[in-house]
Amino acid sequence: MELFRYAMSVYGQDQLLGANWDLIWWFGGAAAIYIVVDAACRPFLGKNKRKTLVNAPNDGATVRRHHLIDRLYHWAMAISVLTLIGTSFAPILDWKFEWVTAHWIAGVSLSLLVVYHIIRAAFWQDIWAMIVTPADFRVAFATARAALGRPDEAPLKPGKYVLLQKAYHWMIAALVLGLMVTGLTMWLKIDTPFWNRNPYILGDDMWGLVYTVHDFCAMSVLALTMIHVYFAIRPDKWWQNRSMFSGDIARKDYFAHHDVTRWAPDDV
Amino acid sequence: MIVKDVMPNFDLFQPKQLKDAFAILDKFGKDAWKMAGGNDSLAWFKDRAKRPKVVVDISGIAELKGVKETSDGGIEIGALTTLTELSKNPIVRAKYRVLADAASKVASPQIRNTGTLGGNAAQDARCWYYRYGLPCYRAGGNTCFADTPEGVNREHALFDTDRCVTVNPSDTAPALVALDAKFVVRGSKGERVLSAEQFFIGPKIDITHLTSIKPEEILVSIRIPKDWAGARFYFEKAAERNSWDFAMVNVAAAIVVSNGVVERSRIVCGAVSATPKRLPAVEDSIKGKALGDDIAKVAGQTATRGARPLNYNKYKIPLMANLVTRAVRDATA
Repeated sequence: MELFRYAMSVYGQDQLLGANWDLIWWFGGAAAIYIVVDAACRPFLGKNKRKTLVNAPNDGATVRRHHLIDRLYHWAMAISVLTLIGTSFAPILDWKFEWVTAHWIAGVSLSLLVVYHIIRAAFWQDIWAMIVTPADFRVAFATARAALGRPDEAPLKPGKYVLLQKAYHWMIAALVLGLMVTGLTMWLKIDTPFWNRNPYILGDDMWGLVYTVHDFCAMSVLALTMIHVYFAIRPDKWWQNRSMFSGDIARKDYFAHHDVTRWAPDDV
Repeated sequence: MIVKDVMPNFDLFQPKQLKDAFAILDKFGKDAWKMAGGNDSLAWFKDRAKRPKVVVDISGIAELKGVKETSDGGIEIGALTTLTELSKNPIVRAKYRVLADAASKVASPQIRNTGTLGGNAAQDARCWYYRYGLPCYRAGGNTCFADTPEGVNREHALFDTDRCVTVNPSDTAPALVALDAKFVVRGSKGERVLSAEQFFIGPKIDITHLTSIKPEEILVSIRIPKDWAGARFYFEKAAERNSWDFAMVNVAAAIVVSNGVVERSRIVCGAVSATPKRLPAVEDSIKGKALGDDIAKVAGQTATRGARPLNYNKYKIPLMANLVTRAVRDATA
């Protein structure tokens, strides 16, 4: 399996063009395998964990998990990412349509959303809620031991996000930043209402590198998006995921699943 | 530099029946190269810019040759019908003269003797950066060498560019679009009948191909409906040489005049975009009007609206306008 695409340069040498698109199937396949394995194992691994975690009264009260502005941001980002995935991979997989304009508009939209998110997270949100700490590893370790048959170690609970959520966030953040930098550079190569194209701002080798980074980041985002959608639609995650629509989780779930000393919403 | 030598090795298949050709194409997929007259293909191979593992020479498939009248009053032309045969065919000359005229203007007599209608209509781009084997967008690369401040783009596009600025170089394609032809492409999985808009595709849809034929499919025939039989026709090709040259701009027109005014028309220019450029604004501008010098001049001016010339092809704008003017003014039955 070739990792890269090459062409012959004017000097008769191999010139890097980007990633080998056959790798789409490998990235997608890896995500699919992860999903299948997780779905197959979770009913067995989850028994002990659920038994120990659900222990709060069901009084119907709710706790605000995501503010409206953050939910709007999430869904705008989702639309941008799905548009980018559709307009990039569908033509490669032989579904032909006019994709370039939609792709760059979605890419620029995503870039603006990311800039907005960075500013909001830095000044208006609790940025530490997403920072990985040693406590996250202790919780993850205890949860794993509980899931594997040691329920006595389960009382350790996470803050707002578990370790895997934080890891996912930072992975997708790194990939999207990689896509942004390379994508915005590529944007200079097409005519837009703002400027005429200029392919000579970089040399051939540097362009090859830019495309390669963009391609690998894009395929990774495809895989991570598949995994994200899988977890979003899992019924056992609905107690949490519905908050991306309503903004709230049940108060009983808050107490059952979260460490109140590490995550204390205003309405608790 | 790129080696230009004898052709690289490939396995040659010469099926005599379509089903055998489909079996070969299905087996080898994108590694197979379809060749009809060979005028375009052999140049690619000799330049070593294309190196297929397998070449499928379909020129021996008899069922893809000839012109026949259809039950609905139109004609169906086998894709392997040579351009010489087409230009001399009495049915084509009598009913669809614009196609015969276009076929007679392709390249040289020797090339017209071997070149086919299907091959000419579906031929690849002539951008010299691409033909030279450079890794441009059309070749699967990351840039266009023609659309740059230093790029030599005298023969390139005025319309509908998207990263790639090549043009469709065919002479018969504009005539086929003017006649509202349908393109029959077939593979082992079935047959598709495509309109010109579906058959010819620009870089916005697929930057590496000029047509929507899939690797496992063959263009088997071209159907021309009776709607435009006997209309007023015009074809003109402007090229730097009278023999063996590609068009700088060409124009094909089919105009139906009723009671002294234009009832309907289809006017198409070639070599100005990656697909034959139909000119609906021109067609609208002459509809319901009596043909004459004034309306022809307006038609010519209308034709070039929206053109975005590159550094060295601005001359195409007046050339295109004049050709359209002449097409509207001089179209004859």
